[in-house]
Amino acid sequence: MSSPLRAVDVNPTYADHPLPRTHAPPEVSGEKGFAKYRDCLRLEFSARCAYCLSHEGEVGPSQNYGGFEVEHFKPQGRREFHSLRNRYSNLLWACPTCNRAKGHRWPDPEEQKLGARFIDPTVEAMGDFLVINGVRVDQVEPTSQAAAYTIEQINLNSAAHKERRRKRQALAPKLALVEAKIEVLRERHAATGDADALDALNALESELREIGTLVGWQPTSWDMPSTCFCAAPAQQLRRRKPRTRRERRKQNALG
Amino acid sequence: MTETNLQPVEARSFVVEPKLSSRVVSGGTAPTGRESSQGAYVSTVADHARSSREPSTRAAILDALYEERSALTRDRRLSRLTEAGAARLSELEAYIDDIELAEERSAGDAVWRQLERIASRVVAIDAKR
Repeated sequence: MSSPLRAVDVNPTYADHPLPRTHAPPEVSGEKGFAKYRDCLRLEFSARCAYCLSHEGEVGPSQNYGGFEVEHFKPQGRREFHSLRNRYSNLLWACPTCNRAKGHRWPDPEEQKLGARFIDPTVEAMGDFLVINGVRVDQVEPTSQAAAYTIEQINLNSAAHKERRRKRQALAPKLALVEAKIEVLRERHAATGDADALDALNALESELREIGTLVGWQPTSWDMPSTCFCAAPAQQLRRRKPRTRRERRKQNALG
Repeated sequence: MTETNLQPVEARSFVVEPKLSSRVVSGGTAPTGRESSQGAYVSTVADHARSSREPSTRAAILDALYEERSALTRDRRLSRLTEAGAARLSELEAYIDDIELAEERSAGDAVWRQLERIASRVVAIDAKR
């Protein structure tokens, strides 16, 4: 029987193409309207951080999606971009470490003249700019100001990021060792026909699969939503009944 | 600005810190009024961040540290970073690393422990055969 962790993505790498936008949710409004897009973003980014590629499971408990957040590529905290706060194409899924480091930072005109800018993973191939070498993220082109700015401002080589990569890499051989032992035990079972051993091995395999899913090494995530805002029933998207006189006036004015 | 869970009041109270700590760099005093070295004051803030059980407090302190870091990295990019600024930058980065690392270590340990448990069970079964 094949091992459950054979075909897993142990070392995530930056994509050699822009990440495709596969969701097209309806427009939303309000200061926190963008929060409705959370499930679309989790599905679209496979529960991984758009910048550092960490999986939700590596970062924190499942109750709050590992602390991942809706990230505004063009920061909503800047006046010039505030109108984009609910625009889906401006939103990414990011881990709390990257999200906090990026904050509302954006290069000013003086820095932009030098080529400083953030790389948008949905517009450009991150793999053209960044590469993961061991526990570090390096620039593909040493002279690229965009890569340098993105690494520096998102702090992709912070101690926390390096620790996360170190853990991920340390876990890989350990999982391989457990897998190899399972194979040996399977062969013994085949030779001796011990049914109890087979049950125990099946249980172990299932637990291993669970870990693989937990740390994002399996294609399906732990608790990925089965539906998202795109697939929401039409009545949920319909405008709610006005509750106040002011709201009634506003809706009447809109026709 | 991105989606965060910050409490506005707490965030406001910490946002002033970069300015205060800059004052300390130039030989001023810590907000308590006592004389303080730059390291001692920022170290107190970082200790508070590490020991705080309130994630929003930690987040607010980190936001303030990142804000100041960003200003200094801008100076560096534009070749305007002073010697004192460079020293301050490396100090800030050390504090950020320190606080984030503590969070990181506590977060991923559950997976690690689960794997250790499975590995020892496999070894035990292997030994029984």
